[in-house]
Amino acid sequence: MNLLKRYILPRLIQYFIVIFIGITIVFLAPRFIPLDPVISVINRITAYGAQYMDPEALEKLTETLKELYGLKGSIFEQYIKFWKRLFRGDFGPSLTIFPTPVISIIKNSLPWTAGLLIIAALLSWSIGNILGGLAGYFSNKKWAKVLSVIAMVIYPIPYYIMALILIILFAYVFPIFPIVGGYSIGINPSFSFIFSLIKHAFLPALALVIVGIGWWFLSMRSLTSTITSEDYVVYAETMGIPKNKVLFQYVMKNSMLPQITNLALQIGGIFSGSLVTEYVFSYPGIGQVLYMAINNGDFNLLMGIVTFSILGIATAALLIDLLYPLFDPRVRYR
Amino acid sequence: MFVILKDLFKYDKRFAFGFSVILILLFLSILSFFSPYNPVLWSLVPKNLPPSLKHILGTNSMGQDIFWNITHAIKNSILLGSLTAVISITIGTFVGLVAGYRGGSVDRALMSINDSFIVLPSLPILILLSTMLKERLTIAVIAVILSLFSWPWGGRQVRAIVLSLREREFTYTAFFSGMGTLKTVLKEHLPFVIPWVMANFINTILWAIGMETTLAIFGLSSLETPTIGTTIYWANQYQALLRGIWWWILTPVIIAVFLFLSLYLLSVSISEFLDPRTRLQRMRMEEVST
Amino acid sequence: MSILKVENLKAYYIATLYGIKRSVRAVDNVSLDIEENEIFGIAGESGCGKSTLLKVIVGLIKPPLSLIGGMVLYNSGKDYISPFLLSLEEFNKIRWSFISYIPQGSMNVLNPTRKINRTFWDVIKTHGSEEEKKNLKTITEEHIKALGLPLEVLNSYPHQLSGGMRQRVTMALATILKPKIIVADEPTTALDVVVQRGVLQLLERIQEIYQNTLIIVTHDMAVHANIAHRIAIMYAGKIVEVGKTRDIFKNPKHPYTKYLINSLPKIGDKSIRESAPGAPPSLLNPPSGCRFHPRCPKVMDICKLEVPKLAEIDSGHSVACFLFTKEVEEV
Ligand SMILES: Nc1ncnc2c1ncn2[C@@H]1O[C@H](COP(=O)(O)OP(=O)(O)OP(=O)(O)O)[C@@H](O)[C@H]1O
Ligand code: SF4
Ligand SMILES: [Mg+2]
Repeated sequence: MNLLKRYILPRLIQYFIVIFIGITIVFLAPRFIPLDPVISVINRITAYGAQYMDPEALEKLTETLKELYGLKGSIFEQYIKFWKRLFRGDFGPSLTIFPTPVISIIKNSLPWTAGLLIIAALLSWSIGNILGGLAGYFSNKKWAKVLSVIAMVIYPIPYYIMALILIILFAYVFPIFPIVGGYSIGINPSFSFIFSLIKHAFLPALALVIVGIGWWFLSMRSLTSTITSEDYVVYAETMGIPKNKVLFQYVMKNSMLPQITNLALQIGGIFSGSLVTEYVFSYPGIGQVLYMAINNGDFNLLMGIVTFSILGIATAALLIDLLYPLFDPRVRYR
Repeated sequence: MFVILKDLFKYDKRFAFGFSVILILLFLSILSFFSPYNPVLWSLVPKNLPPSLKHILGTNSMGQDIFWNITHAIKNSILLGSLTAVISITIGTFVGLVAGYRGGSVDRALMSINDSFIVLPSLPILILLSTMLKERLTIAVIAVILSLFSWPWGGRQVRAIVLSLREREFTYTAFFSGMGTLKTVLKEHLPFVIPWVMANFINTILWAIGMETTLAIFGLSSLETPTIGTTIYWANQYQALLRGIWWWILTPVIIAVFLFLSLYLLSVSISEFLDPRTRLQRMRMEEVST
Repeated sequence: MSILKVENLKAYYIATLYGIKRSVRAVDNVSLDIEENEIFGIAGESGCGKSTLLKVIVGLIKPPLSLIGGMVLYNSGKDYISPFLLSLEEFNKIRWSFISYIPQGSMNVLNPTRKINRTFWDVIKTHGSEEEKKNLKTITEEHIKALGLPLEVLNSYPHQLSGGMRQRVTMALATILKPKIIVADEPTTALDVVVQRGVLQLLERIQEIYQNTLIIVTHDMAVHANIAHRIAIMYAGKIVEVGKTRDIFKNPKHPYTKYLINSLPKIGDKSIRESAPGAPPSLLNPPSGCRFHPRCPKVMDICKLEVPKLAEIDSGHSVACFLFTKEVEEV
């Protein structure tokens, strides 16, 4: 009961605030920008491929766009309407792949991104935290210092630059992996399909994991060295409790806790990273679709992706936060 | 101040490295003012020349000298980062000071907005905004939209500092001597906050340059202005890597890595220097030496 | 026969920061003899090096603290062994089963994410005999019962207990394997008076049940008066007086001890208590000669030049002051 009131409820409220703010930004974006988005979209479409569209469809499109960007009725009505459509998952048709609904394009590419994101996040989180914890606990050891220097060099590199470096390395220096695509075309969905998938997802995931490990390593190392000087760790050592037990049960168990919260905060950043790496490696996830949407001025698709990202990331962060009490008895029993 | 920098430089290798690299990069960016070529114009030199004495980093497929171009790029990227940092730190400091100082429901409201911006996925929203502004993107406009997502980290930090400062006596003294809220904040708290703002400033520059680079690859930057991001964008557009014009793509990538690394090392060593624990040790040490 | 000997012990904190090396001479030439079954108190103002002395006694020396010289010897029954000379493995064997330590601020020494009984089991698994390991649950429960603590604490997390209860749990933890020597650093500080009494009673009770030696550090002279058999007075890293509690309180010799005793409130006495004038000295740069000389009302010329040696002036009563001895300590 207490847990619900003190922990869960504030987080649920925060969740709705995040979504409210995010969606409101998406709603306001086209209205506060001095260009008329409808006209600019129509212009772009006519420039790209007007021959595919009859006047009736154009009319319909203008209507949809007007509705979507909130150009009908008072701003408040538009806002309400915007939310209603959102609840129905209705983002209108994609302008690039007209008239496929935006929602189904997103549905197709979402699993790819989700898979890449989850695997990369879990891998980098666990490897980074374990290595960082070890390096923080044994901070005087030579290998710990070497690892720290490596992490320090890797961490500040943006995902995009890391992806480029990997491409340069693997495509030209050691050409083992294909640098584009989700799977080789023409392979039956079977064992070899999965193998091909892993092979293609390997480089994008690697870019994410390398940069991610840098971040988790450094934050875990500093957390761990703080925890190592906490009274209860010093005392456990004084008691002569074996080093392994001290490390895992006394140090890591406690320094992992803030890292769970940090995962909730960082998940948006990791997602941003995966969008970029997907694009760089032409991996068929949201990042790819996003690039297509930007290039073709496909505002419906763009809005859909942004909205989905906000919902998805906020929900993921909430879920991680809600799992937290399972690991921290101080929150569980108050 | 100078003594501190000297000490840091002498005893902290990370600071020494970061500081030296930044100086070199700043020097390069100053060099851009003496550039013989206008960075916006194309076909000024023969295309696709590998590095040579005449063009020390070669030339690109647009007929530009890569060395002189990159000096402009460094200048513009640092400018963009600094501008973002100024804007977002102004916002963050203001929000943090108000939240920390007013407390109560004002604090709660501001912090929950603050945290929302931390959780929200910044890249997709920034992409949305910059796509809509595509034709009008300039360094200044990019700095403004980037600030939307870079103020909250500073905001939280400043608030935390204010909360710890509030406990101190002088706030009450100031309060009882009838100083207004704003005046108290400016006069009493700001001097303590400024060193932290510095570390945050560097971090924001780091983040902003990285984000601009990322947006640029989607073509969402001020593409006519050379920045580290747009340089990579054009190199990719002309498939520099596939065509073996490695000096075109490698130059901005290496510059970027050094820029990010040195900024990061500077911020780490400054925040370590500001850490209350080491600060205390230093104070004791000064006792000895006097 | 003494169970613990400290001989000419020197331990300094040495740190280098941004190129300047400094050392804090927290324990500077300290010698002590502690008897079996006694409660030995160590008193002195904040920062004089009490905790550091205890840490060295229990063999807890890690940077920035470093051992400069001297020896600590434990009487193992057959012969004297030194924690400094043992391998980590050998040292682990005697920790907790021979000597155990309750650190300062011991309310925070329990792992916040571990149930209390787990920590007890960790200790038994580390230091207990095969027999004890087999019965770790019952041993823990019996011990808690014997000390009069509620059994529920075992199934709790630290944050669920009050500060005083956590303090008591730590004491139980330190005594689970019935060590010969218990070393307690400020066990009552930061607790309110009622809780303080409970904690002291628990300590006395433990000493009564297990008949072991208790070394207790506190700057609170009233606590010493209540429970210690003998007291050592520490000033600026050195022991300045050692004696039976009675002698120290009734007949203090060292000018600093007199201040300490005089600062104690006495029933019915309304006169203003005087404490030592001036501030405690810096251990980075301690005063020359007798370290108390800048504050001493009876300072003589020699006090500024030479260091007085701790010398026995009565049976079992030693003082380091030129008013009572001419012996000089070699540096
Ligand atoms: N880690 C450290 N690094 C440097 N100096 C230290 C360190 N720990 C303690 N000191 C210094 O050593 C001296 C002795 O400290 P110690 O903790 O032993 O004093 P104490 O008598 O236990 O004081 P208190 O009553 O406050 O606990 C003090 O001057 C203190 O400033
Ligand atoms: S030795 Fe001298 S200074 Fe020291 S306590 Fe005795 S009289 Fe005072
Ligand atoms: Mg102490």
